[in-house]
Amino acid sequence: MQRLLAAKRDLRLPQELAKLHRYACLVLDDIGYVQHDQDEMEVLFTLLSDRYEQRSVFLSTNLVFSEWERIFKNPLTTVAAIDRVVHHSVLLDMMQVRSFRVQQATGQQAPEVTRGS
Amino acid sequence: MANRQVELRTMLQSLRLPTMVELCADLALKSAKEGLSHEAFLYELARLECERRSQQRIERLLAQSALPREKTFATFQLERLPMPMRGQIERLRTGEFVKDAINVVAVGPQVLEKAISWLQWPMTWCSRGTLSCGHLRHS
Repeated sequence: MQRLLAAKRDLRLPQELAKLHRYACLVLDDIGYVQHDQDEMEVLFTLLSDRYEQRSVFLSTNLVFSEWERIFKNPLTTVAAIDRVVHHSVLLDMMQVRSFRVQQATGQQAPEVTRGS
Repeated sequence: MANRQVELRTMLQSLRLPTMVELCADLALKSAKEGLSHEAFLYELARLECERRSQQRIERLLAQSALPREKTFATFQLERLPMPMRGQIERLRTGEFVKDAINVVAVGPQVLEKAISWLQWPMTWCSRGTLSCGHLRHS
């Protein structure tokens, strides 16, 4: 993200996006854990738009779609981003899947899926 | 003849075709013995060059990704996922979604640890919240 921000500042964002375009799939790890500023979210949106229907994005987040405004700050940008990501996508709902690491740490033989309360 | 072979190797080297340099002489001999056409010989030589390049690229990207190598589908406990998701993961494993520019959105706490690393994606692996880019390993 920092690379994209620097590229935007230096007016060479299209070139940086073109470099990423070489990769058939881009993994955006844990979006939403850390709060980002407006500029970062703008380049993220630009990136998602650039890849829309051209290249894959594998995105992981702890936030459900209704909370994505926390990522993109602006409601219109949020809707547009979700639209681009979700159109032609596979959704993996892992909210109810128990963390393997937690399970390992506690040494439990837990059921496959945690039960909702 | 010997000079021509040396010259051919030099030309292939200058064209940066190392696998063809390495295998050209042996494959030419083998092709002659088996009566292969010139086209078939050239096809096989080019195919081997492409295959090795592809393998090297995958290895390079895997190394850059710094993903734990031991996390493969062989060690992934698929049975701990709900049944519909097992099917989804199996389909993702084929890599077809990449060809069709299909996105994948995994929602949940620490999802990447759970879902992606077992797919053995060679990608540049950065710290949380940063950008990672990759190329699917078809294995």
